[in-house]
Amino acid sequence: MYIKSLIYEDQSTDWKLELIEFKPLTLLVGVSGVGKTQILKSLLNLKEISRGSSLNGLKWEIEFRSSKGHDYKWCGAFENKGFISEIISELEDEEDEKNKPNISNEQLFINGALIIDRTKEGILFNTIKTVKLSQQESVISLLKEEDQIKDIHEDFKKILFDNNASDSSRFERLGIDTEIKSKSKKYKTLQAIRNSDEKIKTKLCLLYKNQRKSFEAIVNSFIDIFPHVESVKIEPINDNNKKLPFFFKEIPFIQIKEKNVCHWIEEFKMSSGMLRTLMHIAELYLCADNTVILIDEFENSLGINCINQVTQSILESERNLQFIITSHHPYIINDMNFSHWKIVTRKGSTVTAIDAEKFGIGKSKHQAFTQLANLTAYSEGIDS
Amino acid sequence: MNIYFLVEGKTELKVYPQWLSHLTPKLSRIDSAQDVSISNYFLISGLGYPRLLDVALVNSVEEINECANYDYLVLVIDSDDMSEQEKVAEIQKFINDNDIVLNPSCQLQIITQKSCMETWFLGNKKVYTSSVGKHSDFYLHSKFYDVSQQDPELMDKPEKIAGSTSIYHETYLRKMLAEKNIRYSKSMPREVVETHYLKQLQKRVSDTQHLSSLKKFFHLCETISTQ
Repeated sequence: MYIKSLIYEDQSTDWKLELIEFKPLTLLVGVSGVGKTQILKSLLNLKEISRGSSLNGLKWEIEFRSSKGHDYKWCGAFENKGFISEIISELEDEEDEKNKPNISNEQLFINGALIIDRTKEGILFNTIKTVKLSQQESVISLLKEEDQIKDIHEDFKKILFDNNASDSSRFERLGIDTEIKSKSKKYKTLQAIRNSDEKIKTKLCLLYKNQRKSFEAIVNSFIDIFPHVESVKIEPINDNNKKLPFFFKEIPFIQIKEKNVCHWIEEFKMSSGMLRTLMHIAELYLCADNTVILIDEFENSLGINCINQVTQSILESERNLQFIITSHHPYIINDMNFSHWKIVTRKGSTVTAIDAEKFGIGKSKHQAFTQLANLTAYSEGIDS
Repeated sequence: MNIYFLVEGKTELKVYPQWLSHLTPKLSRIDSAQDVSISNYFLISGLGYPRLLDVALVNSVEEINECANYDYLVLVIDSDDMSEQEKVAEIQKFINDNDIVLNPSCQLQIITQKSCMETWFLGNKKVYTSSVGKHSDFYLHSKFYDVSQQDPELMDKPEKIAGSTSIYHETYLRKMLAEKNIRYSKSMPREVVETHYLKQLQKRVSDTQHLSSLKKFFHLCETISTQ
């Protein structure tokens, strides 16, 4: 999917996002606390609502183009049960589940035509009233089997969130998939691997088994960043000393071969930065077409190393990927043309994101970041 | 008369526009260097040294030469642990080594803040507490040097301090102001941008031989205002 614009409000906390228009690449810049991450979380909350979650007090209007090329507008609002602390909402039991907020209104337009109109009284789908359905679930979740809805229900799954916390623990790093053999029979083509719901490491393993040429493309990008690496393979560990437990013997692990080092280095001995970079390149290469990738604090997650890969992925227009990124880092900001920037500011609890060009950025001979840092709207982005 | 200010850091970005509104009231600030017409000034921060020279000066000169309507390029830079002469020599060498040529109708004026802008802020006698309690954070600093009587520009740093003189001057300023319940930080300079504060600095410069680098800046502002 391609997200065109969003208006969003959490009525329980009074947090509002004024109309923001997205591009294939949108870089959200602004001082800490201004609401950049919250914009990404708003999109993730809509993903949750599309899957049936009931989120107190949320009100939204999102316009997007589906993977099939249709223009959608989806708007709606949950009733507001007042402010509930996140900690309390985590502790809610089954009884509380029943008291979840209802949707008070919801509309869905396809190519400008109203397809679904929902009020407290019921749902009109193509002007026909449906049977009684859960009032806590969105129509995208309730009617996901319908032809007009199922594509966008799938599309919302394609909003991926990448923050710097992923893949960091040793447990995550090991993430063994014992069903890899059966999966390699199921997912043969690059397209099938990309469209599968498998974890990124499984996808990479499937690629190694079934699409070696594509696997080498990822390896080449990785070697461009780490030139001391000679090769990468995903195979069971060579157990000459017969010390490995039997259940490990057939399980493939990522291994790298460095120049002038005679043995292969197993993934749990690789530097965490290198492994993370490899995974990020794989994520970019192996996500499904039309994926929306949200990256919080780009410099800490995908990082400076991957900036060229991201740019390349965007330029590969047939993949139709969309990136919405936040960053503070001068290198990142300088390296992305200012036409992609949105300067995020906040007045009280109302957040606004404005194109950098509207502040005159780009006219000067100074580096884009210099111009940005000199801008009052940027340096004093929060006005209480 | 149009002036292009290239200043050292983020503090300057907040202080100079406020000060200039009093010191050169005829000049109005423009947001984009290209918008220059009559009696304008443009001000941009180089975001610290050495970036100020390596990146920002080169780009500023290119911008000025393209606009061809600026009378002065005022480069405001901290002298840090150097003398003013050494700092000016360093800049001249940088300009020569990098073949930076400024449009002849525009004159380069180098204002060195010795050691840094915070040193200038130390010149306000009204915010100095002369009898400080032993338990105050400012006590040892006040014993080390009395900026109300001696020239703040000549204040060194205590031997124990590992950082630069500029860093010490900032620490001294913060603790001196805290004694008067005034908060200061580089990103939020607050009180020092106010007219009453500036007037105290002007008084210090006219009453004494102290803060000679600040005196040069005031003199430049007078020159600009009278032209």
